[in-house]
Amino acid sequence: MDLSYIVPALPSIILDGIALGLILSLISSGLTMIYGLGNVLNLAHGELLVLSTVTTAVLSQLIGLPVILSLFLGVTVTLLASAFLDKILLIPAYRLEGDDRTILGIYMTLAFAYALHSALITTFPNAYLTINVPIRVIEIGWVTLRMSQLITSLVSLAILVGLYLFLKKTWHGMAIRSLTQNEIGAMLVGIHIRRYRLMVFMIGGLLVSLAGFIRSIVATVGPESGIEFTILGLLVCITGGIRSISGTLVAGIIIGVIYTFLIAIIGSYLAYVLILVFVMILILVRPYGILGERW
Amino acid sequence: MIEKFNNRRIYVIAAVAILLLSLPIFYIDTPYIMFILAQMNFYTLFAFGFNYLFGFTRQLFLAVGAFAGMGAYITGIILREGIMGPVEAIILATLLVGSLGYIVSTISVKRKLAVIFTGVFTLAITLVFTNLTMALVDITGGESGFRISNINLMADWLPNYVSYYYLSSAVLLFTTIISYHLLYNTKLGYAYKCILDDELSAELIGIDVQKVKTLTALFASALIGFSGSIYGLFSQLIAPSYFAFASVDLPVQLIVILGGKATLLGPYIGSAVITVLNELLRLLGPLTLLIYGITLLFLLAFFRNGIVEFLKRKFETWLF
Amino acid sequence: MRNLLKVENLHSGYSNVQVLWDVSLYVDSGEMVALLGPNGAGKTTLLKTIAGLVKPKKGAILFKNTRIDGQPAEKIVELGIGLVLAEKELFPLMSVEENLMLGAFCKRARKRIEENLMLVYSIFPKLKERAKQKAGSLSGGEQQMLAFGRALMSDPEIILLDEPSAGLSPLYVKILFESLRRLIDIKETLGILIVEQRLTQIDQLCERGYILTNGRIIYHGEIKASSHILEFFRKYLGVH
Repeated sequence: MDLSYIVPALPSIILDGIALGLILSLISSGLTMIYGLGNVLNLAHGELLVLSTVTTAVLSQLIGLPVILSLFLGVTVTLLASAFLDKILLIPAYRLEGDDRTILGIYMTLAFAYALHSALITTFPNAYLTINVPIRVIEIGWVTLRMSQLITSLVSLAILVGLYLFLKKTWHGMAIRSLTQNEIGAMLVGIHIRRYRLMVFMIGGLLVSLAGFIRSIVATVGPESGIEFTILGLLVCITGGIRSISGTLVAGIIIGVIYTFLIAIIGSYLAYVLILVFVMILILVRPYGILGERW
Repeated sequence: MIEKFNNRRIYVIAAVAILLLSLPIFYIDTPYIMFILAQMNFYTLFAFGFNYLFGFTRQLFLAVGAFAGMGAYITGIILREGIMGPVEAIILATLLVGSLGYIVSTISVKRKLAVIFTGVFTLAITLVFTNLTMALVDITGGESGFRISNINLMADWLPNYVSYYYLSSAVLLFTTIISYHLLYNTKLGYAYKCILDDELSAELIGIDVQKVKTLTALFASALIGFSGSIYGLFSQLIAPSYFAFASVDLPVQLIVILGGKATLLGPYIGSAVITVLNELLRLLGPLTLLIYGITLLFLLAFFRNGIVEFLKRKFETWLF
Repeated sequence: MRNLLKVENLHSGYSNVQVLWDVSLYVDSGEMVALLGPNGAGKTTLLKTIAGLVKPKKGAILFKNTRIDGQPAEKIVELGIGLVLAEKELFPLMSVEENLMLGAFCKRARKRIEENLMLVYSIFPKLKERAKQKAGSLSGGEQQMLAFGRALMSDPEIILLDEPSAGLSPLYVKILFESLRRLIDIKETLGILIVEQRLTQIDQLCERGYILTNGRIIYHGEIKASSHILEFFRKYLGVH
């Protein structure tokens, strides 16, 4: 297999990988927080992303609202959907504990995901979102950066840094971290579990909306992509450790770079297969994620 | 008291058998309905397998479609290449899929993986299967699959669908009778009850939980693979979309939950309801998934133990 | 204050099992009261009910003359009741200092976070040494100190201690009770309800005590080591 054509494209592939990886981190960190706090695996996470992009696309293209307003409303719709998930849909799941809750949560969010997916692709089959940025190219040394790569990476990074600081330094952030480690302990210090669970669902919704918008800078996001985002998000989650938020932040970049690289060499189907196999092996060898047990 | 239950169950099974065997008399002239009925049988078989995995031993195998598909593809490819005859091909496919299920179960149990990991692991298997069948176009025919025509396993003188209907009914009844015996006349039935209640306690009273789970996985996966092989021959077209998650796993889960987890006749009831629902919804096209989703949600919220449990409690029926 | 905490005819338990039957007790400010009894008597259930982790079935719990029974745990911490469980329930991946900071989570406690932190470090100097260490890596005794310190950070007016010496080595038991002594010297108005199975040391710190058996209070009075009641206690319950 002659791979010499890869070499000059390598820096670009790696940058694409990093850009994708950061977006995956945005998606997965919400997923990890929701699982860590409520013991629910939100399989509708990717659909929430698509809900935002579809809303924004419909509002700005079909109805002609200004872009900023459409983006804002897109986020709002997803926030409402997240609140709906936690406060209403998952009520039956919250009556159970541990594994039982996880299983029921998987089923309910999965059912919701399929219902939402179906509703979106039949009602708005053409709601594709693309955010255009000026097509410019920056040269640093022998490396060529595209404007889109740069913007998406920097914005994602900024949000992730913000998330990290929020979790590490603010009272709310510490409360969230403590709830993922010991629910009873959190109750003993006066932390209101349900309030923070709702907050985490909504933060997850916010992150996933932003991820969708950022993604649409590099590639068009369509109404059918929900499940794909959920799966990728899930894979990154597992790689980083299903309960480890900091692990997820790192795992995203790793998966993003490896996946992009593999796509360039063996095509998207086989690349997907290899990533899946990688994660399957990881489940067997280090179920707590590549960084081990961390917050 | 238990004696009475047993006898009554046998009557119900006999009634179901008679019903199954006589249905074609009414519909033999409408091949479409025969097709639907045969397909219903296959889904009941898949549901039986999933019921054993998830209903009786709590192993969340989100790979029913993949296992069925593996059975179908292996059998189909062997037949297409002329390597073996149909019976041998089916047996080989069944053994391979059964072994895979056994391995996955053993890994999960030995590593004490939490339910969520088994679920994600098997989901990954499903995705690998779907992507491989799409990617390896030379072998699998990619997205459009490949055709296997006119392999009639039973009576040559019967039209294709009717023949497969009887074949699937036979397999189904055979499975049901064996299950009946296993569940109500052997210690295995008790073992399942204990494991479902509290795995740790079950271990402590001497049940080899690992053996029960892994062997159940072996046979349930083999059943799914076997049914999948025949299903492939029945459909005459083996393509990824027939065995995708949304085509098989989702309805099967609905069937098991609807009919009642860990019941003997749950799969029958669930399958019948889903088949009827499917036909009614045929007009809606892709919105079918929407209805599936909402139905599943509704069920999970209110009838978490399935219709069978609900009926049992409401009417204290001796049926199941 | 008299009757800082008052429990009146409390019936409590879990969904299908009743554990406590008609339990009454009280703790005044500045008092350390013992709650004794054999395993399974319901002592932990009683503490958990007071703290809001378990919902009572009947009866009343009053804190500063206001009813608090049925309130959720978060509210009760905010009101000024701290609970230290035998399982400690720490945040294993966070440092000692972060655990302590979280102890001051409720609004009322945040105002006095600095002084309380100094107080905790002065009573438990070991915690100050290990301030940056992860809570999960501490020894059992240190974890118990941390759990106690964290409860103190919530600026409580009364602390409920559930078998603080359980599973501790004799050295740590000594350290624990010395710290208790220092604490009650510094915080004179702090009320303490301490659950223990053994009498050693308790009888020197507490004047008054209750004995709980099979969910009922069978004794209330002095806990002096020489009292007849204690002889009876030893014989009946087989503890020393």
